[in-house]
Amino acid sequence: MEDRFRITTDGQEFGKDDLNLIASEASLADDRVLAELLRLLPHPGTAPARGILPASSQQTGAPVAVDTSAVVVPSGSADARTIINPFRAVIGPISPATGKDLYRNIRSAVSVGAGADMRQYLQHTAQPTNPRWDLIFAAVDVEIDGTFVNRYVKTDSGAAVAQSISPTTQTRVTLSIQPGIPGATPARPGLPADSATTYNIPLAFVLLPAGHTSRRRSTPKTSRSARRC
Amino acid sequence: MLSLSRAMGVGTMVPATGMSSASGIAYTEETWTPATGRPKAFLPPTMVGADSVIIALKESATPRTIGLSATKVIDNSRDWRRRLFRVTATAATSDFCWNGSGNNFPNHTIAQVQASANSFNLAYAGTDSLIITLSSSNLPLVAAGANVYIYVDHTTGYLMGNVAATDPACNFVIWIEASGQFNDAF
Repeated sequence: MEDRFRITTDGQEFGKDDLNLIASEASLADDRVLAELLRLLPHPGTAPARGILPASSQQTGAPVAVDTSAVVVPSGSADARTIINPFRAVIGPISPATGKDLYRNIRSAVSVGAGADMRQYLQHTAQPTNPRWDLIFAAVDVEIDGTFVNRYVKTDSGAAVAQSISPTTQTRVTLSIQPGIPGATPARPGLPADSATTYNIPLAFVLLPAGHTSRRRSTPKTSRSARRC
Repeated sequence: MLSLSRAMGVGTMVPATGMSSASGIAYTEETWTPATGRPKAFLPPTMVGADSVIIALKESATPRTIGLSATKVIDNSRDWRRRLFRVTATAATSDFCWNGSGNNFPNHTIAQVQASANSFNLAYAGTDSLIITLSSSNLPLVAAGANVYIYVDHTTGYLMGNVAATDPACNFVIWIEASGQFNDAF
């Protein structure tokens, strides 16, 4: 079990660290359970392990125009859009990754659409001449500032003053497209490099055929999870 | 795709990494260009997990689990379409082992049949995927002329059983193992 905060004496001081401990344990509860189940122990000196947990592994209901078992599927309409079904992105132990943090300091976030079908849609840009590969990837921002709001801050030396403060940190997933270079035999684009707080997870390569426009559907047979995530 | 750690004591069922990884043998050896299309050996990393079910059919006499010339749903707990299958089946005239101490079916002395199958294509009655046919040709204790069909209904995704008109005159234990679903195969 995690450390449990308690007040044992009436009038006991309640400090910033106490509140942060409570908030930290609450917000990391799901990730710590996931860490136990997944054991994403990294190889020394390598980038954090990463991957996804799809919302479903099988189709639900009768055959439909749009497949529901895969994470990335064509929209089923002539609109050059790709559907991303919901999933949870997981980033393995992040720095400082030693000792207990190395064992369990993972972060995760759910990628889910706002609608009843929980899907998100990505629009591919037109490619009227040669075919082109696009790489769909999930960018996971780890522990970034949440929304800034005004909070009054009181110091010992003066009156309370309003400051713009982010009272939360967030780990979130953003879906993106890395377009490739069109050509008769186009190459697949590479995955953008990680940054200090952003980790990228490849989801699928999508092949846009020659003559593809923004109103033409992407080729469904090639919208696939193209590498192991 | 992530899966539960083997440290948790679980097994995993996943396609080999070479079937889908950008550096795997399917891509690097078969290649994938607009002209060639997807590698034939491609299997998606989302084709994870496996489903196993045990089926018992009492067909030695009436009342039967599935009547003669009848079709029944065997399992509707999941979508059985577009999977790979491995089947082990055995048949005997004796009662199932769980129905009393004097019963010993199935056991290692009774003939069994093993088969591989798929539920991608329509290979049964033009509309469904046949997983296995049990008859005297593969299980000698089944009455001559009798056939029991295990198939996947492509309309519903259900696992179905059909017993033809001829009495099989025996009972069946069928162990079916199915891969994860490759729903967007084609």
